[in-house]
Amino acid sequence: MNAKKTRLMAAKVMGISRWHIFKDIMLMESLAQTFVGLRTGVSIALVIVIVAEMFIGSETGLGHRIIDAQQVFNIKDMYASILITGALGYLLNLAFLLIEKKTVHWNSKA
Amino acid sequence: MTHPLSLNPDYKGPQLPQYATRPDTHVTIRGLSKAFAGQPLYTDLNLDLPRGKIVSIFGPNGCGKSTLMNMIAGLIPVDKGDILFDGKTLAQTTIGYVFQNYRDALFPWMSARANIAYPLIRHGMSKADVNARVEELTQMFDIRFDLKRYPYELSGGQQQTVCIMRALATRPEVMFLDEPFSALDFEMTLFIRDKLQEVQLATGVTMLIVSHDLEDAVFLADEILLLTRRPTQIAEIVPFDLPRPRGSEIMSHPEFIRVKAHTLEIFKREMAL
Repeated sequence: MNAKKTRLMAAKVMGISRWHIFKDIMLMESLAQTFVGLRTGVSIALVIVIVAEMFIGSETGLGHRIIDAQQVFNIKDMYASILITGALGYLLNLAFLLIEKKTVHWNSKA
Repeated sequence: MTHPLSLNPDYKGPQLPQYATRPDTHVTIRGLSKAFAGQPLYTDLNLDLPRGKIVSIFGPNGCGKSTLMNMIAGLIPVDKGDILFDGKTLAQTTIGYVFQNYRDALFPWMSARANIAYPLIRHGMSKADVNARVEELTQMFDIRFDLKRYPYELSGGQQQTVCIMRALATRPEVMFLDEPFSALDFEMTLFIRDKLQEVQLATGVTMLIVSHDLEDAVFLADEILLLTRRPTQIAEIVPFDLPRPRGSEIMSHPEFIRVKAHTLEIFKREMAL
């Protein structure tokens, strides 16, 4: 929790209770960092899922498709799956970025 | 056998250290002590702040102007001493505080209007009352910009105006202003100076202003509280009682110039020590 000190003092002077300082100020202020974490998380999650599908044995999924195509030298299918995976990562990141902009609209400006 | 002190007919109760209370006192400070890292800043400070007046605190760098104000506002703990508002403690008193850094003081996730309403809502005021109060403040400050906008969409002066409105929303008894002009351009400084006087006249709130600009300090003040270098004592309390509202033309008034020169003289004397 790294809320601006002035903001906490402002709330304290108003006589706001500790619970409301936590809920209304600290939590709101932490949102910006939370979204940075979410965006990193979604990228890593995608990588893990694809790799898990490749090697830990699954019947479906993009990772499974890539490794299957590679085994039988189906180059077209393999690259198609790799490119789709890349596009999926990009779009997920974009979607989170848009949500972030909507939710923490003040972030880059305040 | 010695009699208990209280049975002595001459005894008048516990005496505060040779310091008579002024009749118009609002904030009473007694025996205030504060040290930072073993270095005493204030030792046994006694001070009365008059009711319904504007007091400017002025002094050399690092003498603890802001510290004094923050201690009164309860933002910095005191080592020793009492601070009472009309005999009440801080917890029983409504105060308002305007920070130097308005950008950090406002809540950027709320619109300007929601910022002003926030302390009211948290004090359990009904929605209709909150709206009425915000409307009243908007009238008082003659707000022309859209309060539905977010703080970062407003200019510096507008943001500081919102800060002052928020501080006033709860009808505080005492209002603290920590260098409210230092981040503003001259035009906004003039505007906010006028507004502060207007508000003070309308509400009769006791105001305490820390300023590092002598002109601002004298212009707004009924009394200028001059502090010495560390360890800080009160150098002098200079009264300045030109009638209000004071327009910028009083800056060439002989009384203004006299008080300013006198204040500067004491300031220089304190600097030289």
